[in-house]
Amino acid sequence: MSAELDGNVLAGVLSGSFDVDPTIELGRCLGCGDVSPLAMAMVWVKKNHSFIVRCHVCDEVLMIAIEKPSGATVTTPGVELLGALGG
Amino acid sequence: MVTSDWKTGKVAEATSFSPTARSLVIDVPGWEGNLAGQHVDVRLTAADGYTAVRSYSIASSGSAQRIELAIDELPDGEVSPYLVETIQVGDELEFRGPLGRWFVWQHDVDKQRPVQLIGGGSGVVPLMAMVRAHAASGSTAKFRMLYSVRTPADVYFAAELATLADEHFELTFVYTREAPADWPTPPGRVTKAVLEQHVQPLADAPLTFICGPTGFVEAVANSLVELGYPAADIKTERFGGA
Repeated sequence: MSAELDGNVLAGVLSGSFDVDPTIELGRCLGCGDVSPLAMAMVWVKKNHSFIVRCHVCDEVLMIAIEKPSGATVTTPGVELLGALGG
Repeated sequence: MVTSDWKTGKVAEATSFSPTARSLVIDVPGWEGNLAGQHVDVRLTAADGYTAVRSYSIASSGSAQRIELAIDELPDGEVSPYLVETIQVGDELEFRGPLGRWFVWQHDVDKQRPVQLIGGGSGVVPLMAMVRAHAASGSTAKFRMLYSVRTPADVYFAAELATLADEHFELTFVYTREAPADWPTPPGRVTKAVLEQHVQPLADAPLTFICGPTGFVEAVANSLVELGYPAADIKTERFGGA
């Protein structure tokens, strides 16, 4: 079962992965170039604790986060994380 | 207390709003407080180790070592039926937080800026935290809330909201299925016309918070943008569902 939520819901699963709250940080969609806070992304949550994060403008998959007992695995195939999250 | 750590709280109070909605006040030793609008992730673990995690907005804010959640029971929910039907005062609950700094109102940051709150059903919960914070801080910023519910029986915090309404906080209900006997308008959804009639004027450049079911949030946000409200001044939090 998946539910359509938004990037606000990522604050918990990503809380161990970044020193700051990532949901207020900006990301640039590699699909359409939109720059928005992660809180505005569209998020689908699957029963296996995986979060699919899509661009709210073009639907490109920005990020996938999977929560496991040992911590979260985060991949960012479609977003360039900016600001405090930038590498 | 680290945000990412799972912590345990104990249910101190449980109050029903309706047969399918309940408030839980939870004591959390060591809680360092939360901003108005933040949420927690609640984790339930079954005997076989299966876990389910859901996010719930906190209806309270400040530094007290207890938080209030208000939960709407979803018929096919994995977590909400337990929180509304089963958990009792004295039971423990595992959760993580406070979480999220996007959908928050802060008196010392947002200052005198007019605020428009628009809540659908259980979406009122984070907005309630903001209304309470506004009152507790003595802020004179102009607050308005448009609160959409199916019927009068579905209103959360009804008695408290009635006492909080004053010259700095204007509350308007929208009943979508059944209105009170003396209500001047028939039941109906939050349309562009309803928004035009009740929300803070465009010229006052309000900061707008919209929360509730996904369909509600998107329809309201789109309507406001069509009315000319800048998208940059609108913050949304989707609760899923319809």
